[in-house]
Order: sequence, then C-alpha cells, then structure tokens
Amino acid sequence: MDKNTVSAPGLSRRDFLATGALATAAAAAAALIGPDAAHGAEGRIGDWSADGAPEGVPASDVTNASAADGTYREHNPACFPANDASPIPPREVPAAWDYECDICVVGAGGGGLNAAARAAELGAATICVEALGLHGGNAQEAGMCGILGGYSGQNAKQFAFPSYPFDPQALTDWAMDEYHYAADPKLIYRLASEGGKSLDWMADCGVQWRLGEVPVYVAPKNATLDHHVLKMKDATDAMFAYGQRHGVDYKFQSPAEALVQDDDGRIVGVVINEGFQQERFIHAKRAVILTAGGFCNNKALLDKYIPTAAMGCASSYLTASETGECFRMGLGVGADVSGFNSSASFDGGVDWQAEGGTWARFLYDGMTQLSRQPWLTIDRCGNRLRYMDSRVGEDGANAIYALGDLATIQMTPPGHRSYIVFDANYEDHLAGFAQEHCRKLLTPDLEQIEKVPEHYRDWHHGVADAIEADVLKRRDTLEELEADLGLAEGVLTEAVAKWNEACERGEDDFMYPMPPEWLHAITTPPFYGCRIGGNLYGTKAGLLINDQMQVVGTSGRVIPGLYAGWHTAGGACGENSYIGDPILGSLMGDVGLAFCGGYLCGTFAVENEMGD
Amino acid sequence: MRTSKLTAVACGACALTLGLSGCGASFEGSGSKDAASAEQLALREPDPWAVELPADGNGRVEGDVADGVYTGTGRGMEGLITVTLLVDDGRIQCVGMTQEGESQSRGGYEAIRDGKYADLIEAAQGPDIDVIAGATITTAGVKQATADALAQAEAAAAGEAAGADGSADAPTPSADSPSSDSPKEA
Repeated sequence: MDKNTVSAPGLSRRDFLATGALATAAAAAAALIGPDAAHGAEGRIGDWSADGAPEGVPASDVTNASAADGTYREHNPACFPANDASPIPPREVPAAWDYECDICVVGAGGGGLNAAARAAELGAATICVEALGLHGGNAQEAGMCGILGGYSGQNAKQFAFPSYPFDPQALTDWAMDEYHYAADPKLIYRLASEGGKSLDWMADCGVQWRLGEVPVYVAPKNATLDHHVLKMKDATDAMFAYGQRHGVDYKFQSPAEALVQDDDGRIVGVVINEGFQQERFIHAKRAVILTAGGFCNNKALLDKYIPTAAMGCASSYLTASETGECFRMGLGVGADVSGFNSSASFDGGVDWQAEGGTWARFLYDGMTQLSRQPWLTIDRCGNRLRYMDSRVGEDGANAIYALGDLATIQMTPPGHRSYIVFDANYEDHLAGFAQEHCRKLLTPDLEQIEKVPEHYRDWHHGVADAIEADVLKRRDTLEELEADLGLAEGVLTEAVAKWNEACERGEDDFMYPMPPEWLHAITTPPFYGCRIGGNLYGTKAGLLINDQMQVVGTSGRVIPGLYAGWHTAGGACGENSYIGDPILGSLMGDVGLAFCGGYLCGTFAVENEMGD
Repeated sequence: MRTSKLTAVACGACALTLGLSGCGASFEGSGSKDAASAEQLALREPDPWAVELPADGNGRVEGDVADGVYTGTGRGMEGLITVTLLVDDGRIQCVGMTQEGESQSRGGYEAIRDGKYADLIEAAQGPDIDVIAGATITTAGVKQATADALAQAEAAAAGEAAGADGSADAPTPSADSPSSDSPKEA
C-alpha cells in the first residue's frame, strides 16, 4: 500500500487542485533539494488513498453530467480513503501463532464492542482488534436506535408495531412487504425478534437509554438534543467498559490484514498489523467475527456493489474507516454477497469531491446543514424538487423519515444531483426554517459543544470552507452562477424568475408548495448555488449470512468459523433498497443494526462453536 | 408510500405516549426549545484553522542535535505518520509529513495537508505542540514522529562526538519504528 501525502503549506486547496499535480515526491526527496522546494511541493487531496489511481479533478460543468447515456456518474477516486474492490486472499496457518483466543472480533465500533462483550460475557477468551486508535468507530456519532417493538420500555407503554402485544412475525410480514420481498425473511425475523432484546441487554451492561417521545427509537439518556453530536458515545463507552470488565483484550491501531484459513476451509485466525508495523497472527480457536463496518468510503466497492449510492451520493459522513477490508476478506474466502445495491443516506450531501475536496465529511460541518434548509431546489432541467420538513410538529415519524426521503428526492433527478439556490440574505432566513435533527446549524453557545471539532463549533466556518473550495458557488449574477453550476442557459434564471413570482404572490403554485413564510425571493447579489446529492451513511450490501450470523459461501454452505455482523454483513434490508427504509434502514436504523448484529454474533459464535 | 402505514400507527402511539408522560419540550425532536434563534445563528467565533502562528526566528532545539535530515515515525489514527525534519545549526524546519489514514474533515488530516502541524513544530522547535481539538490521536502521532526524528538527530550528534574520539561510527539518519509508548487513548 502506498498511501502518502505531503503537506503543502502556502497553497490553497484550489491552487494545487488547479495544477492537478502529484505529490509522490516523498519527504526525503523534497528534503534533498531543500526546504523551500519542499514547501513548493504540491500535495493533493486524497493522494493517501489506499489504492486509488490518481486522476485529475474535472471542471464543474463536466461533473454536472453523467455519462453520455445518462446512466453513470464517475467520482474522483483521489478523494476517497479507499478505492479497491479486489478480494483479500486468506493466509495459511503459520508455524507459530503470536496470540491465542477463542474468539477474535475484528472492529471495536458499535458492532464489534457488542460482539466482544457478549462473547466474553458468555465465557469466551476474546481478542478484539481495531484499526483506529480508539473505540466506538462511527457508531459513537449516531443519534438513535430505531426499534419498532419488543424493547422493555415499549412494553411498559404498551407500544408495538404493527400492534401491541409485540409480534415479531407480524413485524416481519410488514417489513418483507416494504422490501418488496427482496430479503431473507429469516434474517428479518431475527432482527425483529432480537432487536429489543439486544437493546435491553445493552442496558443491563450499563447503557442508559431513553425511549423517544415517538416510541420508535431509543437514544442515550444524557445526549438527547439535536446538536448533541457524538450522542452514542455514551453507549459505546459503556459497552467498552463492560467488555474490559469481562476480560476482552483490545488491540488498537492494529488493522486486520487477512483471515487465516486451514486446509479444511475453516477460518482459524486473523492476521493483524500491530501498531501499523508488526504483522501478528492471532489464533481464534473457535470463531472469527467480522464487525468492522461497511464500505461507505471505498469507491470501487460502491461502484461494483451499490451503484445507486455511487451515482446518487455526493459524500459520506462516516469519517472513520468504512474502507471495506473486512468485506474484501470475506470475498477472499469465497463468501457470497447479499443486499446488492442497498444503502442508506441523508439529504444534503455536498459535492466536495467533484471540486477535489474530501469524500468523507464531518456530518455537522456547517455547509451540510446549510444545504439541508428549504431553499429553492431544482434539477438540471430546471424542475422544482420538493422539500421534506424535519420539524416534528404533529407528526414525529414523518419528521424522521424526512431525512431519508429527501435524500431519495435529491439522488434521483437526471444526473443524480440537485441544485440549491439562494441569495445574499440567506442567513436571515435560517431561524425561520427551524429544521431539526442533524439539519440544525451548530452555534458556539450550545450545550456539549466541546464534543464538536473546534473548527465546526461555529457553522460559518464550514460554509466559508465551501465558498473557498467553490463547492458553494458565490457569483455576482445568476447567469454566471448558472454557467458555473454547469446548467444549460436559462435553466436557473427561468426557475428563479418563477420562484420570485411565487414569492411576490406569497403563495407557491408548485405541486408540493413551500409554506408562505419560506418564500424568500432570490434578488440580492451575490447569488449562491450548490450541487447536492445523498450523504451516505450506511452500506447494506455485504457478506451473505444466515440467521445465526454465519457467513455463507457462494457454494451455499456456511464457511466454518466465520461470523459477520452489520455492516460487514449484508441483507438487513434486502436488495435494491435505496434509502434503507423502514426506519432509515433495517428495522433498527444503522447504529441499532450494528449493535444488534454484534450482540447476535457474540451469542451465536459462543452457542455454536464453544459447545463440547 | 407504504411507510404511511407506520406513520399513522406511530403517531397514534405518539399521542398515547404524550398523554402518559407529558410533553417533554427538551427532548430531541420536540422542536420548540431546540431550534436555534437568529441571535444564536449570528454568533461568531474565530476560526482555529485560520490562526497565524507567531514565528520565532531565534528558537533552537533543546539538546545537542547534528545537522541533517531525519524522518521520524509515529502512530496516528489509522496508520503511520512520518515527520521529516531538516536540522541546521540547532534549528529545525519541518520539510515533509506523510499520513496513511487520518480521518478526513476532523482537523488532523487537514492540519497535515495544510502544513498546520509543520508550523506548530517549527514554532515549538520540537514535539511539544498543542493538541488540535478533534484530532487528539493524530496530534499524538505527529508528536511521536517528531520526537523520533529528533532522537535520531541527537543520536547522530552523540555519534559524531564519539566518532571524534574514534570510538564509534555515526548512525545513519533513518528510523523505521516509533518509540514504545503508545498513543492509544484519546
């Protein structure tokens, strides 16, 4: 792997992207010719990408369009943390092992922490390896676990969907209908019947939940406001502590590199790169559990297994890992794939990568929130696109759905992009929009703001970044803006003229009208425009598993010794599930899915593999 | 949409729940309290990424270091970080930095890319730099790599001194392993 980047002081992002130059001149070479030359060395975003071939950044008007036949949108691979879909072959059993355990869990995020804690609690000697320098993964940034019934707090309120008392079969029947029957009913039934139990088990381990007012989700008790980023860190911290108390041996900064397979085809261990430098063989005598997330940040895997996300999403908001190595390891031992072309995203993914910015973005980066407000939104033909309000008001469930449904609306237009437009007075309108959940703009006075990276505590900073990168285009005239967004002549100006007429009337004649108080005429320069799509947060294509979380090969048979939880596994919401509904994916939302999957992996790995 | 079925039921339950527990206006998604006011949205803070560091042209590295170019290694968030220092007459310049997997858009990745850490190292003339908020582990890796490079420069100086006595060869200024302390926890 050659993943290098050279710092480029004195050069703005635009400068070095304009040159499209490579920074393969490594530090030593730069040093040989002196510090001045080193400071002139041009780095480029993403040149540390794991395997991505460097390419130039296309001009905006080029990236407006898909391929000539309108089917496909090519992303800039250099902006992705990874770009490799090749299977990772297993290693042979070594002459000597470096570490011994019953069960080795790969990943210490939401799924891995649960899998390790559960396996250890049930008596397995457990090693949990993690590529990052800390536990919690992307799970700690999630906000809520969806749950439709069977959780004790819901029983106390006599709530269950579709009716109380809770019946997992009835929930499964409903979900299978939602998935158009393109799913494995045994797996969906497992999620339905065990989801609530997994949340109750986490509570027993020390997680403090609070049931939502709309009782279809739980959130950590002390992190309940929209702006409480890292909400789920309370839960992942508790599960990490529980695992430690039960003797789990956590190895951080030790990415898994390959599975070890014996001559009989059984998975018997994991090869890790301990401390990023030392290859070590872990003997997992009973089972290996893969719970290291999906591949939101691997371009080649997205292209191959989730083409609609590759086309429709403009960014990912999972900034940790999500590079898909565990999925590729599974492929390397002959695992089958399920959940083809299924993913989950929110609205307002900003197309940074098309301008050479990074693909993975901190969710609350300011520009993301600005892009998710009810601006005039059009497709490249100039058609209005509807907005989905996230204010709870009278209808809490719809408010949650709004995030995923608006993503669909923004991902599906021609060219798989939408365009938001506003004028110089945009800041005056934000308070009146009052959007909730992760559409809320962060301000420095908020409670728990210290959880936010410093730069993003004032939403203006991220917006300034976007203007500097020309992702949010600021132009003196609408005609300039139209041209630089890559729209045909008249598309934007005519749409704005029509919008302004509606604003003047005080009544929107669009088939999905904006409320009168949101009708703000676009008249005062400078004018702003931004191209947006989905903001990817979950890949649902993954390794095929049965309802005991065992990985199944293309032979149709279980690969002995190998288990996978979500999102390394697939199938949680069937195939071709665009936004992953219901409840934003797989009955439990995505972090709930990871938690439940880890719990199930730990349970079944011990039950199946630790008996005499 | 078929999802409307769920909506209807969930909202019926919502009314039931509100009746049982009262309307907690402070809870997530309840709107009225959580929405930002115009005054809040107008609040501004200085951008920590834009802060200019005062340059100190007279600072020197502590300890005895030999002139040369040294590359040190540290462990970052998800891969190794290297820092290459040019040592000239007891003063260091950071002439290069590499990373393998720092998280994008959290501050650390950008601080390497944009030379922020390089400026911090030069201002500190050593590894004693402030943590960049949001990038604790990346910063630890940068500090570790810087210390590693300086340790090589010190070893080289010690070697030169010993070499002057004719008792030792000068070590080569290359290192490939970080020191043993692990920046594991944030």
